Amino acid sequence: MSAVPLKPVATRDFALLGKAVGYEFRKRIQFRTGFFVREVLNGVVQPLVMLFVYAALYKSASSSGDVGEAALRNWTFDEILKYVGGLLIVMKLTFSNRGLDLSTEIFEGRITKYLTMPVRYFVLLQARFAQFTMMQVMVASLVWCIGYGAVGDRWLVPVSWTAAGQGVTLVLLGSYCAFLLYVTINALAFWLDVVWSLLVMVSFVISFAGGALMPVSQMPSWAATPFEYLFPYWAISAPIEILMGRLGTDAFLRGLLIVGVQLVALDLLRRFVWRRGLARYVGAGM
Amino acid sequence: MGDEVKGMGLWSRLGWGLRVLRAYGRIGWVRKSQFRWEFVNQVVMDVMFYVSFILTFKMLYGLGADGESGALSLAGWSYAHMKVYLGMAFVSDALMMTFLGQQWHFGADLKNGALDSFRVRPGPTAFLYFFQRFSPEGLTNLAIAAGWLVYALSGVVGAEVPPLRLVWTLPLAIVVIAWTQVFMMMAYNLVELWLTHSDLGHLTWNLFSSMGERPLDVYPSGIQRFLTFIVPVAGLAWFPAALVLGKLSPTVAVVFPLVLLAFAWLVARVFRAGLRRYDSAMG
Repeated sequence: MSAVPLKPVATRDFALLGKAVGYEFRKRIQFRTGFFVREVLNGVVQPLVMLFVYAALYKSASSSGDVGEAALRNWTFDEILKYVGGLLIVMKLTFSNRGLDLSTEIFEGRITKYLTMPVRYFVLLQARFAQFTMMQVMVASLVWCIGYGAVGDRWLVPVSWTAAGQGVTLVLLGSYCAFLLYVTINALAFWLDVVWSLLVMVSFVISFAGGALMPVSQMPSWAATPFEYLFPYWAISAPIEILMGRLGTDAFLRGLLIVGVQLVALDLLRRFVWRRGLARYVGAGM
Repeated sequence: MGDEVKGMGLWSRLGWGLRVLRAYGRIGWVRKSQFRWEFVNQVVMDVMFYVSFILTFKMLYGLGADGESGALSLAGWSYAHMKVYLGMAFVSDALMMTFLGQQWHFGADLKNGALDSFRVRPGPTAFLYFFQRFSPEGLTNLAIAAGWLVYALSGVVGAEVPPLRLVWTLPLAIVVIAWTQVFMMMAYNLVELWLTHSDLGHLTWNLFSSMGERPLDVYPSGIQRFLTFIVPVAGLAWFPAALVLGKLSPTVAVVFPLVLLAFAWLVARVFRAGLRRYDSAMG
């Protein structure tokens, strides 16, 4: 019997990625109501609540009670409205932990079957990221159209195509950083019994440091300055400000450098944790 | 409800419920002794939740230095009042985490037909099911949340709130929070009985709890009325905080408890109807 020559690793990985993305899509749309709730409505509530809080705050700050008059730390209410519109889009594109179940697979000893196959398990996880991003780009585009149709020019409209390209680049790179961080935390299940609370903590930090509760540039400097060195800021708050024209190309390049360095660091950390974890994995659940 | 409990008097029924809760509590401590690292993680996680809220509101009120008036209020809530409001919201969240953690698994349990073992037990299915996961870490966070509430109240008692009023309003406020948590939680999960594995229970929880974590006065009057008289999220933090701070109008003070009772009756009826269509293979 003649041996069938194996394809190069990169080609195999790419073919596997394509197939796995297809299966991930099928899984997501299996329960239609659940699909609508999880993919379309998820993440809409928090920014809307934030808008009501800001309206009350700006009303209180203005002597006439007109929200349009006041400016708080260089932000007018109209800019906050655009920011919230941006949050609705950007938060959809930022990878969420609900797309992964790696820690459960490790805890219950189910990853064994993947480890014995001639494929890299991480490619299957990357397929989740790819499926998530493709799906959310469609959903975010739909949300943007609905928002623009509802409030017109008061909605976040990118100041230029360059700004749009820069903003989307930072969001997607930041989202990949979040994905790598979540994979790493999930992989801690090789040592810990349950990691969901760590994952929730990470999502708190990403939301807070990223500016999902209020724009980072509106925070006092003791909070804003350190946050500007972390990827969540460049994945959420900064891209919205770039789309609004409040930040320019110099900020984009700085963000690209910070996110690029952290992406490489997170990937190295993920590889390290995965290898150390596999070394103590016995395939029978932890 | 199981026949055995149905035939009991009120006090016997209460005693039976407390015995079940004690048994669930014991199981909760045993379970957590197996997952000690997770205990620490969950305590830290909830403390981070509290800190992120406190910091956000501190920063928002801090913006007042840039405003024309120099001091900001959120629809009539000063920073001192807001601290009390956050205290009520934290206590409310910690109560839910301590006693009602099983609600997160309701959709999946329905899909997997895992409700059978609760339906055949001699007691109310909803009580036996939803209270089964007592959380020691939730109890620890309840102590932390209560600590914040006491600290926040110390800033207003005497100057704005007569101490005597606190003596009767605070226990009443905690009862309202606990009552609202139980029936709101059941209401969130009602829809799962008809739309299995839809995550609508989680979505409605996310929607209403997010709205309830801010004073209802920030919303337009229509939404305020909806969250007070139709889906009484107001009972989670707004009504208790306003009751203690003396910010309630006489009408709301009288009508809202009646709304809570009517809501609980309706939710219990619909939940029972939903359970009747559960056939242990809904997925």
